[in-house]
Amino acid sequence: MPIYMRGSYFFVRPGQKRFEISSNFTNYLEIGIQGVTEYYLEAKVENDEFKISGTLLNPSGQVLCNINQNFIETSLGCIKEMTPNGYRIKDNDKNQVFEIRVENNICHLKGAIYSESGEIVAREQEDSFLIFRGPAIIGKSNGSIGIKLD
Amino acid sequence: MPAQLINNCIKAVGKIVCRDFGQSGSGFFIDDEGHFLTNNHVVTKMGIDRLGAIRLDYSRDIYVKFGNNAYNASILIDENSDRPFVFDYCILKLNDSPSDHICVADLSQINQGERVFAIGYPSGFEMPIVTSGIISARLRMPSHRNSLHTMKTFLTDAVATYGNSGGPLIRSTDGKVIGIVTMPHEIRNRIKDRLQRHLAKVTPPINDIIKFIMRYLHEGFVYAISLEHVLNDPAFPQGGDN
Repeated sequence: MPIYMRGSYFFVRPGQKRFEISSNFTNYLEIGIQGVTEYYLEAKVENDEFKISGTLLNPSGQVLCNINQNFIETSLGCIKEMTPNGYRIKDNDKNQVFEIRVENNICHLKGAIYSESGEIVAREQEDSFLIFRGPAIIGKSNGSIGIKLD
Repeated sequence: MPAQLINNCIKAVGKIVCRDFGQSGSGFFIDDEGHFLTNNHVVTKMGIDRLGAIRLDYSRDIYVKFGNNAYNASILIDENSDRPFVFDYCILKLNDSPSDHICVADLSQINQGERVFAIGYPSGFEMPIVTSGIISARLRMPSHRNSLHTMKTFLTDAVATYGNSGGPLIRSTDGKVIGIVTMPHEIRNRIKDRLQRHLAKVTPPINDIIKFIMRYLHEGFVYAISLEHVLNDPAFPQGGDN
């Protein structure tokens, strides 16, 4: 029987800057493993700032862009569009691939993370960002880990 | 601080005019090759489209005045890079070599309470105006242009108002620049909001007086963005004589 966790806080307190992941709140999210999986996403709160880094793939498993602390480093077919409280990443056909949005100290992720085989690893669904498969880490602080998905 | 140091700094500060946008501000030379630093909002026009995305237009007709001399300027940064937008800076290149420039201070050695001065061209002035104060605090605050990011800033009580944007905040001990004067503390905006609400309810000459006060309201603190953000930009001219 599946167990659903909602409204839990991993290494953050209410009011602090945090990410909303699968209806829970956390200071850290890692999807994939850098250098091991082709796709990778790291979202963390560092120095009171939301920092998102990673490699996004399109549904065909091709690299769209590399992001380093919210700034696109290499783009192989996407553009970044700034909004007053975040940004959107769009492919060359102007279709939205990913969005980062901050509201009331909560950072929301919107879009889909694809694996190299085109499988959906994580995706926003009904206003929540859901993780469908590991490897992933939700919450991290001083070497301690909140939830680890293998 | 010796008057000679201030005098040298003043020569490096110019008034920026964007003819196509009808807006102006301040800026300063950071090397002897004509690289000129200012705020991004001085040389851009920002709008938000119907889908909520920010549209940024850079001025195509910029000139910089030093007294009676005026020089054309071009924008040096990568317009596809959002770093200058987020941290509100812009590097220009002038078609003239400056007689003086302001060196960048060692930003790790700046302390709260140090004396600083600001140079700029506040509204209505065609000559550089110098004001002084202290570093009231070093703060990280959300970027006023994109709240996802935070900016390193110096809060100062040096007087600055419209037109000062883009001017240097200079440490008084050695005359080196530490930040770019960027915006007032929120308290001034709150006062302005209240005045704005009253403005709708009154008729001349009261509303003219309120408009005058709003234009020259300069009480309170001012934020200067730390030059650290600019130094991290690949477009920043390297090999400067800090």
